[in-house]
Amino acid sequence: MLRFVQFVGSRALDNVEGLGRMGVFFAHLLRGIFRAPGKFRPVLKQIQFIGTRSFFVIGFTALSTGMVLGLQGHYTLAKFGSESLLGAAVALSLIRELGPVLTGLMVTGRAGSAMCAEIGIMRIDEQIDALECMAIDPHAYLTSPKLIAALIAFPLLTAYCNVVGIFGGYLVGVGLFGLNPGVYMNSVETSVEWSDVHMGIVKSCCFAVLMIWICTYKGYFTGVDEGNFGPEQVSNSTTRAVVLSSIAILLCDYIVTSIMT
Amino acid sequence: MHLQLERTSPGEIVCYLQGTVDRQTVPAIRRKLLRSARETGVSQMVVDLAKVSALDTAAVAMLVELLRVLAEKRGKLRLVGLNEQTTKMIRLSRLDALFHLDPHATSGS
Amino acid sequence: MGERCVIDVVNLNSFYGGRQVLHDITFSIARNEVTVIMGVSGCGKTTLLRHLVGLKKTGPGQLFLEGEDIGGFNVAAMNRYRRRIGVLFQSGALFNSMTVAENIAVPLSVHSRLAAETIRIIATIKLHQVGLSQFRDYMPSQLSGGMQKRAGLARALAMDPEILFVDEPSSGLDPITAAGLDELILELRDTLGMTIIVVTHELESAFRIADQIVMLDRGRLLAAGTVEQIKANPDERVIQFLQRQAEQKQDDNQKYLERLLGESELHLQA
Repeated sequence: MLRFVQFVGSRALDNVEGLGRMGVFFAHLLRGIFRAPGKFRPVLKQIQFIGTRSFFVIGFTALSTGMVLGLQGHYTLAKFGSESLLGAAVALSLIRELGPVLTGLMVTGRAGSAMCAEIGIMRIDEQIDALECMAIDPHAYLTSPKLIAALIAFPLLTAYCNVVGIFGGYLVGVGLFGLNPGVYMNSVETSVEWSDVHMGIVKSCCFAVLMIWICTYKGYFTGVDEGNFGPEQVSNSTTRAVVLSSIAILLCDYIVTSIMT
Repeated sequence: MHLQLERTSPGEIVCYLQGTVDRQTVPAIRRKLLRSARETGVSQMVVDLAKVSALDTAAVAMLVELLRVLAEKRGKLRLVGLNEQTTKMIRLSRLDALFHLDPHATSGS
Repeated sequence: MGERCVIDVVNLNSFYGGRQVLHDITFSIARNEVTVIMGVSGCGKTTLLRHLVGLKKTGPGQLFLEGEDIGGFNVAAMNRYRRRIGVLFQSGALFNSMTVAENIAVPLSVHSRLAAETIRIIATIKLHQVGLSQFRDYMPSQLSGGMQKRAGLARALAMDPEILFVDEPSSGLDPITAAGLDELILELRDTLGMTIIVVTHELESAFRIADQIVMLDRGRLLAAGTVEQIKANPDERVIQFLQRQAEQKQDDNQKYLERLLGESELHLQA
C-alpha cells in the first residue's frame, strides 16, 4: 500500500516539475523573440516550412469538410424548410470553429511532428549542447523563429481553409442540390460578422502558440528525463508531442469559444 | 586599431595598420581597404604590419580578400613588417606561399 | 593556483540524481598546455568535460576559471567564458540542415559583424587546416563519421578560441588521420598558445600530445602528471590501466564463462 502511495506521489511530483519546466521553457521562448540578430531570414524559412508543407493537406481537408457540411447542413435545414441558409451554416461553422481547429490539427500532424523530430534529433546528437557552448541561446536561434512564423502562418492557413471549405459547400449546395448560387453567397455574406472572423483569428493564434510550445518543448527535452539519447526517444517524444498538442488545441477551442461567445 | 592610407605613387597605395587586427576591428576597415584597392590605376598595395600587435584568422581572411581584388586586375599585394605572431598566423592558415613569406623569416619554428 | 593555471578543479563532486559519478576530483589545467583526461568508458571523464564547459551545473567552490568561481557564473559571465572556448563533441555535432562551411559560419555570424565573404574565407581556411577544404559545400550527412568530426573541429576553431575542448578526437578515425589531428593539436598549442583539453581513451595518442595526463577511474582521480611521471607511476591500478589490454581479456573471459554456465555451475567447477 505504501509503495503505491509513494509511486503516485513521485509521479505527481514529476508531473508538477514537468509543468514548471514547460513554463520556464515558454518564458525562454518569448524572451528569445527579442534577442539574437538576423531574425528575418530564419522566420521566412520557418513560414515556408510550416505553410508549404501543409498546403495540400489543408486544401484537401477543407474541401471535403466543406462538402460534408454542405450535405449534412442541407439535410438538417431541409427539415425546417431553410435550405437557403446553407451558405450561412457552412460559413459560420468553418469560420468560427472548424477552420481553425482543422488547420491546427493538420498542421500539428505535418509540421509540428517534423519540428519535434528535428529538434529531438539535434538534442540526441549534441547539437543543442554545441549551440550553448558557442554562447548562442538555443531558444532564440531554434524555437523563437518558429513561434513568430506560426503566428503568421496559422491565421493565413486558416483563412485559406475557410475559403476552400465555403467553396466545397458551394459545390454541394449549388452543384448537387441545385441551390441558387446567389442565394448561397448572399447568406454567407449577410450572416458572417467581424466577431466571427475575430474569433477564428484568435483561435488560430492560440493554436499556433500551443503547437509550437508543446512540439518544440517535447523535441528539446527528448531523452533528458530517461537519460537515454537514442533514436527511439525521438519517435517517443514526437508521438507524445502530436497527441498532447491535439488535445491542447481541442481544450483551448472550448475555452476560447465559451469566453468569446 | 588605426588605419592610414598613403598613395605613394599613381600605381601604389601603402596601408599602415596599427594595433590588434581581429574579428572585432576588421569590419571597420575592410570596406575602406577594398575600396582603395579597387581604385583605378592601383596596381600594387603594400600592407605595413610593423605596428600590428596581433592578427587573427579574420584579419588573414581580409588580407586574402584584398589579394583577390588586386589579383583580378593583375595587381600585387605585399606584406611588410611582419613579426613572429603575424608570421605564425599566416603560416598556420597555410598561406605563407600565397603571401610570399620568406621561409626563413622567423627564428625557431 | 597560479598565473600559469587557466582552470582549477577543486574537490569536484558530481551526481546524476542520487548516483555520485565524480568524487573529489582535484587538478589544474595549465595555460598553453595540452591536458589529456583519460580513463575507460564510464569512468566519468565525459561528465568532467561537461562540467568544464558549463553544460552541467557545478556547485560553488569547485571549479575556477583564472580564479573566478565558474559555479557562481550568471548567464552573461558564462556567455563571456564560452566566447573564449571552442568545443568539439564526440560525434562532431554538426547542424544537419546546413553545409559544412555554413556550420563554421554560425558562431562567426552571431558573434561578429564580419562580412559574409570574409566569414566564407575563414571557413575555408579552417577547413583546410583539418584537411577538408574540398568538402566545403557538402552537407554533414554526405560525410563519413571521421570527416564530420574534423569538420566539427574546424567549427570549434572558427573563433580562434583561447581554450579548446576535444571529446574523443581519435575515435572513428584511421591511424593516419588521427595522427594528423594530433599534429594539428600540437601546432595549435605552439602557434596560437592555445590551452587544449582532450578527453580520450587512446593511450598512444595521449602519450604523443599530452603535457599533463589526468587519469580517472570510476569517478576518482587515479593519477595526474606528465607522460613520464604516469609511465613511472608505481600504483598498481595505473600500471594495470596502462596494460589494460591484457587484463581486460582475462576479466572478459571469466565473465563470459559466468554468463554461459551461471553462478551455480562455477561453484561446482571450483
